[in-house]
Amino acid sequence: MSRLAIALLLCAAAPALGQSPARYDDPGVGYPVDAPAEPVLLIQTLPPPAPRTAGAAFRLSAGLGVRSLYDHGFGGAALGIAVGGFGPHGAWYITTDLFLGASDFMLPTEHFQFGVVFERILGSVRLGGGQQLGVLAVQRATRGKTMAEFTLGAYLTASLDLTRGIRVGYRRRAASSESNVTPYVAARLGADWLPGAAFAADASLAIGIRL
Amino acid sequence: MSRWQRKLITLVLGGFAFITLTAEIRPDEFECEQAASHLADCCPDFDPGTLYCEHYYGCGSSREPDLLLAESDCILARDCNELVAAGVCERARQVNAPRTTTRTTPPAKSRPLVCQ
Repeated sequence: MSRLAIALLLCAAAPALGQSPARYDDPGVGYPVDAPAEPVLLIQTLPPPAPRTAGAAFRLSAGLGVRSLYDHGFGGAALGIAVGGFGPHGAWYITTDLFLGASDFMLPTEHFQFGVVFERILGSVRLGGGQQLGVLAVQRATRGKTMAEFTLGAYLTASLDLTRGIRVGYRRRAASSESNVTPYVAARLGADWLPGAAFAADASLAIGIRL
Repeated sequence: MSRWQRKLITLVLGGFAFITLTAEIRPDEFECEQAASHLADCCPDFDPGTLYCEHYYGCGSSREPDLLLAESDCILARDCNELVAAGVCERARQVNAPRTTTRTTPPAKSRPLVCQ
């Protein structure tokens, strides 16, 4: 085999052998450059991450919610987002919740709530209580502006972690980040006072993730 | 606390108090709206926009919802077949009072009850 043939074979095999990074001709540059690295999403079930004992926390949840006002029921979606912190035995969050649904006779209804919740951590179970200020809005079937009223509520919540944690990372070239994500299910039962001398009850069942 | 901070807190608290005192979901309004929605589902060609379900208090005039609480409850307690058979749909179409009328007496005293 001639020297030329050997050289051609080595050049062809080099990328496959990992001796040379992938290169391509970028028409915008005019000379060969390294191919851009593909972002890599890493999802790995822990065993076992070093548990953090304190820090900041963030959570998202979505599920089904119900409300009751003047002996009428409302059903719909319950969405939540919260930011806070946790320690070895407890956690606190500033919460924002949104209920989007309809009354039993199909009046579109929204309930926006903003508040704070404190939780006691008992292994994979969390029990807590919170307080929320909100606005309940019910759209009319007739003409006229939406009926709305402030709500001041309190509620109890219980959640169960579905796993101890899933490590989710994102890596691109030299930059990377990793988080421990804990999926959970949560139930909540609350009561809201409307200054017009009415009470509304609310409940929800949701799944969520906590970072 | 600076003067601007005091003004801001006063503004926020004042706004909250104003909205709390003026915005209200009254039971008769809510039931009237529910009844209007039910009638729209059950009664052919019924336009819920012809009903008025608000409380209005203005200068020299006031207005109550077109449906009394008892009428709304009666409508909501019946299914569509019952509403049509009992003539509720037809009477609901007749309510239709002009919105600018000054009225101080409950509407049901000046017309037959829509549902009883």
